[in-house]
Amino acid sequence: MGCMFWYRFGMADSRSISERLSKLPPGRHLVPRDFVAQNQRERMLLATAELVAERGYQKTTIELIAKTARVALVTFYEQFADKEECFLAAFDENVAAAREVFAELLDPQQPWPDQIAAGLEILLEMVVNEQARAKLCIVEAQAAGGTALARYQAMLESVAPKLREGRELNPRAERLPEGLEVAIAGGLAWLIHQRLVAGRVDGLKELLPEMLQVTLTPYVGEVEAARAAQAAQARAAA
Amino acid sequence: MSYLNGSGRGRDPARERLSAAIVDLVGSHGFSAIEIETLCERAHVNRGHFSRCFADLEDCFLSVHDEVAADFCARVTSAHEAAATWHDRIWAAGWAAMRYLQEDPVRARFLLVAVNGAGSGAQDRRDRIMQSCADLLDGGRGEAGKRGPMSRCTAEIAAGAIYGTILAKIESGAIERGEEFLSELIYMAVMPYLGSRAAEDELAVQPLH
Repeated sequence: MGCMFWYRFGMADSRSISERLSKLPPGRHLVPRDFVAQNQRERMLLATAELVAERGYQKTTIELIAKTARVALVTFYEQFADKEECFLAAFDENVAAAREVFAELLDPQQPWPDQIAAGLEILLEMVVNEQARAKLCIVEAQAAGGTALARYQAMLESVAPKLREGRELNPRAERLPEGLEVAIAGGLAWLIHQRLVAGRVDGLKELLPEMLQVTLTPYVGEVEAARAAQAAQARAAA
Repeated sequence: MSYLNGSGRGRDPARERLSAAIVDLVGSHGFSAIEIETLCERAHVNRGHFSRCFADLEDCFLSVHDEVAADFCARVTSAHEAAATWHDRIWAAGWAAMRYLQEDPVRARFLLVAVNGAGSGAQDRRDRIMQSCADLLDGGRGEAGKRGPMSRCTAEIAAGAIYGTILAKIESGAIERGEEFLSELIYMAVMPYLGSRAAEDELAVQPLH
């Protein structure tokens, strides 16, 4: 599972940033125009993630993105109207890639608490191994203007249906707050946000049991949640 | 409205007008939408006076944000300290926070929403408010008994959940009806510590009655 996940999300990529951003050979070649444009676009999006993670959205300029991606300024403007559009494209692409990973790795036949445990485990793997992309989606998306903030909120809301399935396990589910699932997603994202800002993601995976405990408690109660958290702890220790 | 109480500066009516104007403009339109000229015009202050008070627009925003945040935190902390038990302190702090946000929704937007688009200095300030909130919640660990793994991170998750909910309410204009969802915020605050059943009981509390 791990290998496939890394492959899909590029986590096992040990190349340096400049290697990852290597451009096609200069001069005329027989590579189709669409392929070149796609390659340039990918380089610009990757450069945006790396730069934004390092300098923050405000201090990232179009010139820097173009220079880091090794494309001409005119090429940037062929693909994006401005920095915000480029940032939003990078955000969308990374969120879509993460969604694909979840769709592929989560087994909807598993008991719901196990799916949540697996989902959180996958999320933390992604954050730890792809910090620049995580920072773009979780930290900088909140700093890059109204549209980015709305997409960040939409990302949190997209998690709600999966969490909401847990209401079937609580016989008093009708009492639960309507916005509970988005609130939990926001709380978990906030914890990750804080670790990314502080550059302390190494110990993040150790927080899985605690994150799981808080996430499951409203649906299965604190005793069952603690049991699931201890199981996650045991898995991590093993 | 003055945001300069207790700042130690001599009273400067023009600076106070600039403070009120930036809260109003940024709270209404966002930080990126305003310029120094617009701000000076709104405050009836000339550009030279602005420059004597602040280095630039960001400095102005951050200075005034510090003052509003200090005002907000003082109100919440004072309510928190006045109650006897952790549970009552959480209710008192929640109620005080809600009242503060309700009484001036534009100021609420300035304090908690506008920081998101105003650079890293502003975000640091937002994070400090959140850490203060997590500090208050973290006292719940003493109430929790043995409920599985629990560190300060639980308080951070709860603080993040509460912040996200408040943000959504401010954005949708629902903050003015804060008493309708205060119990939901209390639910998020106590659920990790007191358990799901006790947290659900909080939802039945009608704070206004």
